[in-house]
Amino acid sequence: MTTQINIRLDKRLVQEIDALARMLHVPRSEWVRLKLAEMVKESILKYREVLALEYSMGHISFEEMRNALGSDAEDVKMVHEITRKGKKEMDKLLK
Amino acid sequence: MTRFAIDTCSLIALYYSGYLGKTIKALNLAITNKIHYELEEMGKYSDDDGSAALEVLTFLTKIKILETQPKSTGEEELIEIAIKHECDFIVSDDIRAISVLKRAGIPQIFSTHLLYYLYKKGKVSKEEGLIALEKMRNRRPWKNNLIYIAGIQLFK
Repeated sequence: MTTQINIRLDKRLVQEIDALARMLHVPRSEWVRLKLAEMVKESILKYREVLALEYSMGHISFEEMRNALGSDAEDVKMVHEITRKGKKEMDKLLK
Repeated sequence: MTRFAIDTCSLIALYYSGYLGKTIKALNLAITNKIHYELEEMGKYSDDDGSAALEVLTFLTKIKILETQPKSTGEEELIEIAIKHECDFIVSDDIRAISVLKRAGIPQIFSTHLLYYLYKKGKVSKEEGLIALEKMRNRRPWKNNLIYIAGIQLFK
């Protein structure tokens, strides 16, 4: 199922997209669709990593993280807890 | 001396960090025959992990191999030697193994803790530690890289 969206692009950008699409022998809309999907996938991965880091650093709560990551938040919490606990063990060892 | 029984993915991660040699020199690491076998099997593949496994195998003369009853996975053998008190900690970067190790009540740490040890001993600087974590993170996809993201807090 698809949904149509309308966006306005800079004329120069459209010319560049058209040039690329011509070189690759694909329709403009197909090229834009593929690129958009690639970018969204990449951004989601980066966003997840940033959220995991923010939680580890204590900048966001578990609830905030769970709202964005869903069930993956449990794994982030578990890894964070083992990291904290392990640090204490290593500090004991270093004394 | 405290002994760390280490799994295959932690050895690979430490190799990627560039500090496997230093870690082996500073700490008493041990593996089992299954871990040795897993590294050999991994080394048959011509991808990055395969090449890393072959490099890790060259370090094995400096790592003690503990004898166990053969089990189907490296984690199971590590649990056995931990239960027999032949090691003090299990080092495992396998997210899927966490719950198994937790249920067995075995003290578990990550390879990042061994880097933290080197840092606290002055063998790597804070910057070197953080760069090492980044190298480890880059090699792993989402979820398997959580350990290296969380590891940043060790160098805060």
